[in-house]
Amino acid sequence: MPRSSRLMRRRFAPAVAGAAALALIATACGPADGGGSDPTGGDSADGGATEFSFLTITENPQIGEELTRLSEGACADANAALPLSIESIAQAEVNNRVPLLASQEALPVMFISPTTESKVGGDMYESGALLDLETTFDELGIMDNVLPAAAETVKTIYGSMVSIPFQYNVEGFWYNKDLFEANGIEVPTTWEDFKAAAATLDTAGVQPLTAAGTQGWTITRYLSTYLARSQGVDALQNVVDGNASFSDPEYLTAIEEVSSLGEAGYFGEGVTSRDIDTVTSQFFAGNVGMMYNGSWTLSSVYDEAQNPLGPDSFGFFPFPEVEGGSGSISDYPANTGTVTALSADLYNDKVGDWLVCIAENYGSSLMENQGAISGFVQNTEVETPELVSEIVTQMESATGAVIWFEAPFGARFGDAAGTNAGPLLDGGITPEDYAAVLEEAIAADG
Amino acid sequence: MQSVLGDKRAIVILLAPALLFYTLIKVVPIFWSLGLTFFDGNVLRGFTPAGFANFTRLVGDSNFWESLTFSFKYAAVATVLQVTAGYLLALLYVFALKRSSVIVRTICFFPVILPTVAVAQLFKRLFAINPQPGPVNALIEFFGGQSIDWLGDATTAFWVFMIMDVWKSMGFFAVLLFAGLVDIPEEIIESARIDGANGLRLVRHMIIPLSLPVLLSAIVFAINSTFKVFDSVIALTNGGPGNDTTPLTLYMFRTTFTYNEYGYGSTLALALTVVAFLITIVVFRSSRRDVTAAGGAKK
Repeated sequence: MPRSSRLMRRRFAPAVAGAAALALIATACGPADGGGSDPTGGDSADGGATEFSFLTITENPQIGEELTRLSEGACADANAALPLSIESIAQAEVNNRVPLLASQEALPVMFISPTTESKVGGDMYESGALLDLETTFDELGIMDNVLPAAAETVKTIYGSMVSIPFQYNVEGFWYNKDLFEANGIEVPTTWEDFKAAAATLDTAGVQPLTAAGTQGWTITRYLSTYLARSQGVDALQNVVDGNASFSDPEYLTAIEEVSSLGEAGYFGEGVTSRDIDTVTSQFFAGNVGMMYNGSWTLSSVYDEAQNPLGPDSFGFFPFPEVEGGSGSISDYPANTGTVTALSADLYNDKVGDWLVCIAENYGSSLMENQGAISGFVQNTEVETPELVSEIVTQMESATGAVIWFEAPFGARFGDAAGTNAGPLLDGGITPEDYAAVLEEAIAADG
Repeated sequence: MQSVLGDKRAIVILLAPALLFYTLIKVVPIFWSLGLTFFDGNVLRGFTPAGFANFTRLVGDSNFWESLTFSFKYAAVATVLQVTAGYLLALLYVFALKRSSVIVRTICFFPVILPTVAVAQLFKRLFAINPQPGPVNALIEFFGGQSIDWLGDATTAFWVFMIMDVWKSMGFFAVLLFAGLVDIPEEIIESARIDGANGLRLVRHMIIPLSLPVLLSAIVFAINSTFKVFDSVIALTNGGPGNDTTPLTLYMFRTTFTYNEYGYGSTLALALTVVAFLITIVVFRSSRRDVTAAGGAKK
């Protein structure tokens, strides 16, 4: 081999080796498809979405199922122009995944958004990532398709219309009619009657109540609604405004009353580690007298697989009145489900077409196929089961909305209230300490 | 090839991409996180300088001290139990089962390869009280006792963690320590036996000192994994009841990604790093001293 050639090789070999290594890394880091497709379904040539991407939660398949049904039927045209694409994540991931996507401008068209961050003043809201639905619905001329009470509930809870009311729920007690009848119990209308009913069931060897310690809201709802009955619907707002505290005697009474139900053993053994599936299976198996839950339970009531006793065995009554309290039994805890928001950046005419179709058809479709109530009017007549009609009547008679316990506060408060709710019932924490934990969380949330 | 590797520029060029890659994905985030400790905010809200406010807050944060205490307690008890169980199994392999230990070793190692979340679900069912009592509570009821809400109470939940951890990891430590034990020369053991050392005396005065280096390695492994426990806690109790089973790792995760406080979350991460670093120093110092002692014993 000539000397000059060996020199050339010696000089260039390291450079070639280095370039090859860099090329390997560049290849490894490059996009797998070699193209520039956007996984969020955004950035079409005319701006906005290229597909109707929806990030939902695994725990609640209801919206996804109904949208899929609509995409194949009433919304087929909208779907042809902007195909529906659904991705599910665990509810626990929403708080970290969605803000991260927002910060990277990688939000899907529609997504479940963190409750606290989506309120006016919250990071998601203030970042401008959320579409103003009231203005959009007005522009599209579909506001008439939203139940006024549902729209009002969204605005009361979040301060603005940031969430599509795919659900409209009232909450209260589901009860086993057969067990009530067998033990001569009337539907309670006052807190004292409620406790007496629980005591009667307990004496008869029936577990009076059930709740899931792993889903703290099934217990904290007792607190917020008791406070709304005893102190009025502004009870929690007064705490937010600094005019009251959970350590105040009247607030502490609410915590003590709820704690006393657990102390009496009304929730049965293992309430702290119990999960929500166990709660509903206990109830529908006929082993429990009463269960606090929402009107979304209707779909389970009419599901033969979940409810072998049949819908006639169960009824629904509002949270009882607290004697001498300033609240009313016709103030209902209401919500519109998890926050389902739209990306302001990805909105375009095709997304608008989807919204029009949803607003016009979702209410009837959901009722017809899943027996559930949404915040949209039913434009097509659907045969409504008796219990559903009864609950709709109760919704219509509601005079005020009670917001849930965690709603007006921050994320730390939500965690503190929920994770300590089970121990509040099984004696793991005293009412005084529970109040102190809540106060501490409010201070930490700032 | 020799001409390429003999050239310093070639070495630099070959190493540079890997080094750059390592720096980008490992070193930069560490310093980035360190920088965040002096800021307040998150990716959506933006960041504002906070000076030493996050550090002041850390000192007065009762949740931090509680989770740090839980992490220490978890690491200490789990390390002792894991290594002890692994060591006993290793002794069983070497001195009792000898060459027929392969099947037992394989069976005992099996839980190590199972996903932690699956193991946690298994133990959840094992110690369940609802909807039906799990096998443990069924056994208690069979003997006339009353079912226990194992995961609903901080003390009992802690011991469920310990049982689960030992079951899952003792196979790994047994194999690790087994390798150390088979390395002990047979003639030394034999001569000790001839000198009258048997049973516990043999283990205490000969086997343990001679296997001390690998035993210390096992302890380092155990502390390292148990102090950073995260996934099994999420799957089994999610840190509850209350915050009673929340280790520092979970508190850090929640602060950063649930409460969206990136600055304070980074401060907690820094605290975790410092504590882990201190533990490593203590263990390695003890390790150096004891290895020498073991070497002395060999002589």
